[in-house]
Amino acid sequence: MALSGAVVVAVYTAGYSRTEAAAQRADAALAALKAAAGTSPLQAGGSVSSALTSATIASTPPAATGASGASGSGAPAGASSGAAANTPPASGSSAGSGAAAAAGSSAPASSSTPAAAPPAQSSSAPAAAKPVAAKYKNGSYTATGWGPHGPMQVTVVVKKGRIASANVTQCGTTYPCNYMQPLAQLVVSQQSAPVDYVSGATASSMAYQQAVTTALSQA
Amino acid sequence: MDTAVTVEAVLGDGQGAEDGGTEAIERAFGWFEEVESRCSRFDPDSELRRTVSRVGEPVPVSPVLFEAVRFALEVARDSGGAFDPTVGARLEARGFDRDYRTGRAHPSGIDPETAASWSDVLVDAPRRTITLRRPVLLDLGAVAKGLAVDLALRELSGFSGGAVEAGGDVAVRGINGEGGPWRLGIRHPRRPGAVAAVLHFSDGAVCTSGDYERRSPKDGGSHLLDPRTGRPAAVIASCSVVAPNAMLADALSTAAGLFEPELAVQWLERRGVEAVLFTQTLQRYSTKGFARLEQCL
Repeated sequence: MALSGAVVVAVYTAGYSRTEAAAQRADAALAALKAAAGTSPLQAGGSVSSALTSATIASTPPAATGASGASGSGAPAGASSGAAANTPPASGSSAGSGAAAAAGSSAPASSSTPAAAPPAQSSSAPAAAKPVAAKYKNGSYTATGWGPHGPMQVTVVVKKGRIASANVTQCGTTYPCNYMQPLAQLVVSQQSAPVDYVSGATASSMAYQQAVTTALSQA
Repeated sequence: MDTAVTVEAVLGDGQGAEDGGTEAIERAFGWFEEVESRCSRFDPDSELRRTVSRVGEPVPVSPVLFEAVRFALEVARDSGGAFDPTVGARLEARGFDRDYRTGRAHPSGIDPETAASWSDVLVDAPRRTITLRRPVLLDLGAVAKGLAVDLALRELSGFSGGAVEAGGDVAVRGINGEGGPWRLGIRHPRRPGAVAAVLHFSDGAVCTSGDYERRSPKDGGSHLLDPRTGRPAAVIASCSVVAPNAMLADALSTAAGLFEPELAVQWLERRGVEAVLFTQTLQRYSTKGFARLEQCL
């Protein structure tokens, strides 16, 4: 894949360490909320949505203190310490590399995929989803993703510069890998890894996403 | 919070790692520790635990704890008590009592059978105090993680895009690393590793409340407790809410997950958010505007 404008600078999956600076930032950041605290938009007939947006978070102005946060020490159980730090993967692999770190397993290649980004668009992202017109090298690319339910091997086939298939070729998970079929179709239709993140699941459960992203990083 | 956290910043044209991306990400992580130290009910030294140990007097608290509690109370009021941040002692009694960092339990000693509810918690905004009229153990689990995600994401405002994910709560802004809207899956409630829907959007958050994640070590029931009955939620398997920020999405998905599905959808639509719900039998319900966000699987 060609490198271009938007580049994922880093993905850290780690615990976090307590810092005085963080505490000071919290006080500074949230002190501004007092101004908005007088009237609850809920009580005033507004929606919860507008209540929170306007009153609680929007005015947070954290001061840049350069405090250390997180990626190394103080990681809680279940989170690895900085395993993915300074990883510059393609966007799609962020969840994947995070997944490996979170699971405490060593996912092959997921933390060393090259930075990759199709042409950047303006910071006002398009509202509608469009398949990214990525160009890949023809071939067959295989990678393994890991999660708490076991490993999964995916082979991505590229023909005429486009993803032709992204099927599971070895299933080591405790769940049936045909669950991935809708995602495999999505990879073909949008010509990219299927999702960036998954709501309701820890990143560590995204074995398929991780495998596809790693495979595509070779294409 | 017993979860992994992922922070991703997308640099724009001409930006490099030396332009503060690494520092911003580190600051973003700092918020998780900060919010945890304020809002955890598991840590006997947290500000929350110190606050609930004082009953009947106004306790001055930090902005983080105050805002989390105040917001939780607003959602409690707005949901008619379906969402209630005072269920902590009952959750504790069902075995959700371990500090994940140490694996040890630090019982609050608060009676889970007390008749206290959210209306026994008073907040005074000008003085930034919290007053408990009865002994209660506040549980901010459905608020604090979302708050931390939102605060962390704000650290990425100087970039073309950013994303923060913590235990399935996701908030994004701007573009993803491929220059398009973020692609966010919603976990299938009964198929591990699979997604039930894929959404595309650029600014906002999606949080899911599901009955599959944590089970009581004592009764095997969901951690989602209906405060009105004292029993685990029964009908909805998962409820995902898309909202302007994660604290809102987190709280509303938890509250709505305790309603009957039709009522949940109506309630969420009135609050101007989008949502999709799955019942135990995998019947799907969604708000009218949800399809606009959705990429067909």
